[in-house]
Amino acid sequence: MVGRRQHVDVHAARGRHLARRHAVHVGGCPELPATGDRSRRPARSPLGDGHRIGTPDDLTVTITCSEPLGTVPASATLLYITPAAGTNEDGFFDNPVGLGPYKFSSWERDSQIELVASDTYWGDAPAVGTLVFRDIPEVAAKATSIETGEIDFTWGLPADQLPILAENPDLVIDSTPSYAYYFNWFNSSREPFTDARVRQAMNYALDRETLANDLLQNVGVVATAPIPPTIFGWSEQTPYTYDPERAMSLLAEAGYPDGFDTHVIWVPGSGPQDRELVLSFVSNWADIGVNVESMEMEQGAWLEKLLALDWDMDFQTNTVRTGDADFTLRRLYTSSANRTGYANPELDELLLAAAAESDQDMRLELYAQANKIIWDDAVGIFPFDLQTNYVMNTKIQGFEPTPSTIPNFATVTIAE
Amino acid sequence: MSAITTAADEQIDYIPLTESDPGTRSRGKRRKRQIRLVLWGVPIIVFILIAIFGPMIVPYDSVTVRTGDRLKSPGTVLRDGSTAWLGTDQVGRDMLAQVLQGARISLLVGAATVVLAGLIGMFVGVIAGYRGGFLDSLLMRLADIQLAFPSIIFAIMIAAVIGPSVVNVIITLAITRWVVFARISRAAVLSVKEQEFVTAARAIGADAPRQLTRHIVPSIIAPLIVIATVEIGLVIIAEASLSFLGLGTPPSQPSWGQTIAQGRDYLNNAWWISTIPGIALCLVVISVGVFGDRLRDYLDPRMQKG
Amino acid sequence: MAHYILQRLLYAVFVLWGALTVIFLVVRILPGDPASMMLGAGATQTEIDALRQNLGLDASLPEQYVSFMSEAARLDFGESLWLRRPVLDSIGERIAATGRLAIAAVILAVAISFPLGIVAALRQRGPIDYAVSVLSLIGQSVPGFWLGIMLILIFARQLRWLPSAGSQTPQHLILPAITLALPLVGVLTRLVRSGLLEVMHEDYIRTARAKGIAPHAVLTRHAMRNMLIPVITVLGIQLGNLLGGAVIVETVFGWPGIGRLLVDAITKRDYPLVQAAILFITTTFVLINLIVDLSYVYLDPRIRLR
Repeated sequence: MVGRRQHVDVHAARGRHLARRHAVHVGGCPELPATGDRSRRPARSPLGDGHRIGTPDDLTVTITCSEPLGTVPASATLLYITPAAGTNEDGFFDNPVGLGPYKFSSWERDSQIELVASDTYWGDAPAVGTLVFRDIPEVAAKATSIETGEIDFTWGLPADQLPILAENPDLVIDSTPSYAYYFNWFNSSREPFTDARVRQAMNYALDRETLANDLLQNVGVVATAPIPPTIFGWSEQTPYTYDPERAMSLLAEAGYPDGFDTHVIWVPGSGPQDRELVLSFVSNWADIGVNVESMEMEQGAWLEKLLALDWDMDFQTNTVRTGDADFTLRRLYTSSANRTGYANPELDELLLAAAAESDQDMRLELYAQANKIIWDDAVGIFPFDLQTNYVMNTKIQGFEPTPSTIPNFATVTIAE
Repeated sequence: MSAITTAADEQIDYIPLTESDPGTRSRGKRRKRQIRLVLWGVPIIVFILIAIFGPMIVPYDSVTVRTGDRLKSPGTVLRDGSTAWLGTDQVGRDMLAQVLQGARISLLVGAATVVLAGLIGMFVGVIAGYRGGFLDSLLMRLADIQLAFPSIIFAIMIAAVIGPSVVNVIITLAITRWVVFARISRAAVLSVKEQEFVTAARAIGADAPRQLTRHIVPSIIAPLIVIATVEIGLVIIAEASLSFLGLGTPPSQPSWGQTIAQGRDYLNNAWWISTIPGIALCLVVISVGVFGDRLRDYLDPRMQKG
Repeated sequence: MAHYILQRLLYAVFVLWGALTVIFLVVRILPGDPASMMLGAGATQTEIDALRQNLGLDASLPEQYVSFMSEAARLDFGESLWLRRPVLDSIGERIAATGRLAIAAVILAVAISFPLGIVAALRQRGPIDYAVSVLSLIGQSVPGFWLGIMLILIFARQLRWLPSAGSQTPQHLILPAITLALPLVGVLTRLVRSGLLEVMHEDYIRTARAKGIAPHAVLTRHAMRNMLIPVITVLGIQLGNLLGGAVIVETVFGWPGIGRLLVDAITKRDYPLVQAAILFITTTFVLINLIVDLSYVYLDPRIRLR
């Protein structure tokens, strides 16, 4: 056993979502763990239709795909391996089992989850013996808790809280690029967004640099592609530099010299500074004559509209859960997925080919082409990539942030 | 009269039902009391004037944001040389303009909701009280169901179904607020119905609608107005709660509640966003409440000091 | 007497049935459905349909209603769609937390409002009376979430006297209980004051005074008893508002109560959980009001005569 076992209170930024891991089986495949993003689940198994999973011995799992698939290593991060017996029994997911450094100890819904170091962990035993994840929904309460030392660690605070916390000598703030990003989709099956020039004009209208500086500070940076640079398959695109003149001439070319009226749907709480960003976008668009109504929606009502393609624009965050472009691009942008009303056979072909390719360099090349189409054809606006900020007490040492925003406490020690 | 007057309804008659009897008092004394009552109404009139003319003098631009001037404290001179007397909000909009516009929206929501709820409640209450019998039973049980149902939960659901807009907020709140008016109207009708002038009217053959409009409805207006003054405050607060849950007025028409709710994350670094409309809201609720108290005292002969 | 109690019981059953029917319909009118919420934005229609069938949501509305009602009558509320465990377990866990909070708030409110209201009434129209009435109006006019956050910033962040959020220790109860109690203090203080004033003007008290009974004896023997009726009535009715306040207080303070559970269940369209939680809340409401109704029999002899 390495180090002393100590007690740490952490606050899970999205603590309430942890509850969702205890969930139903769908078609024999356990639901994927959920975090804040709402479009995470693949329309079909990430291992492809007709795959077979075998366990030739106690230490081996084999995955046999029915077609070539280059994404297996990334998708394997989504794989749940559960005891064959009991998985389908009632209450199985109330008592999670696992091989990680920590094991589940107790859970009070909407209050806290407690994990304790596992004695059967194959690696070095963690120094911190108990982790308590507390659910604190309100920003002011969360920020206060970390300031007063009620909790030792938290993440996902709004940008405006960080300057205040930075003044506190007992706290350390660490920011790291994540797998998450903002997008603003256009419904390409609806006038006037059927015209790529209109979609591009909406892109040129946004003053991303200013907004990133003024609003996001260290929680986001201007995006350079439809997926963040942390993702396998990322390639830098030509930026849509703020250019309202150009935006207006594109609108005029498309037949909207006087702009038009449209709306954007979004759910409050979908990401950092979301309200401020929507308000700013609406203001920017008004400058080129496009009158956008901000439709703030309740989550269930929003989801119904989103799935039915019953919207003009949709603003939200998204997370590339596997760290592989396939997870996001093929799932969301193929014609058959039909998530945005955008259909492009060339893009479909590239995305399917990239998934089937097992040569990873070749896949990078294919995604570079796919990114370019999505970006230049302006299937959406990809304004900002998100960073995760971790605020922790100075006594927490050895924490290494990960882009998945699933913090790893196995390496953490506590100084006296 | 059937025996369905519930004990709970009984209690409502602590609100005065008849105007004070001027007989024993001099005209001058009565006049003085009226003037005093009007004086208590002055703050409300001031707020109404602010709500009407404020946004004309300092127009609110719901669209343009100036993120470079965000979170500036009251009195800051902004980049364009103008002064933000009440500071700016989280996207750099002027708080003064927003608070003035908020006055309009919040007062509108408060007044319209109370009028709507009052009309629904009065209609139900008068019918129930006047007709009595099974209909009365049924309507009052409906009112009980409405009361038993947690109103904020109901509001959440309605808001989810009909979406955010000022009109929808008014409808949502009115649906959760009509019961109190219904109960009071009913109790009032029950007590008025047996009074001499109504019995007399019935004896000389006045038909039901005539009785209702000529005698009964006028005499229940006073208690309804008193309760309305209490309800306006509660409605404005309830709207703020809806905003907190993300179901308030849309951003283009920010009520005070909306501004308070959206500014709450900034209470430790930009207190003015949430606090200034909060104080305004408090002042309105207090003015209306104090006026309601005075009005009640004015209308209730028992409350008068010799 | 027996007739009165029987009648009240019948009303209670009717109100519960009505509330259940309303909630059954309302959750199903809400846009969005449990299956698509569970599967998220990436699901296909086939998957959604399969899950709907699996969850028993493909039956027709009348079929669902009949099975829901017959199960409810047997006190079987089924499993939470999301958690796959009996809803009563989930609710049971939360009742205690919300109960603690609500009871603490009511005790606090009563402890503060009775002395304030009595002092105000005894010193009617004096400076203390005005101060109390303004204070109680402020209590009613501050949005709960704003107050809650301010208390956190003052007592947890600045003074470090109390913990900010959570429910782990008894100290965690203090701030949320104050936040929840304050609007109630406002209402009750005003009621105690007006109830007492009313009673003091009544003949029997005047007689008692005239007979030379000391004021405090008048208060305790005669006035208190009559004052309690409106207070208890309003406390019963305010229970619904208290729960509404609890939703907000529980969110601000991260308190794992039934209000948050319910809002969460609505968001996820977890029909059985929403239905059972609403039934639980309305039952509590109806029971408390039943007790209130029955307590009138004790408090007000006039009712006994009916």
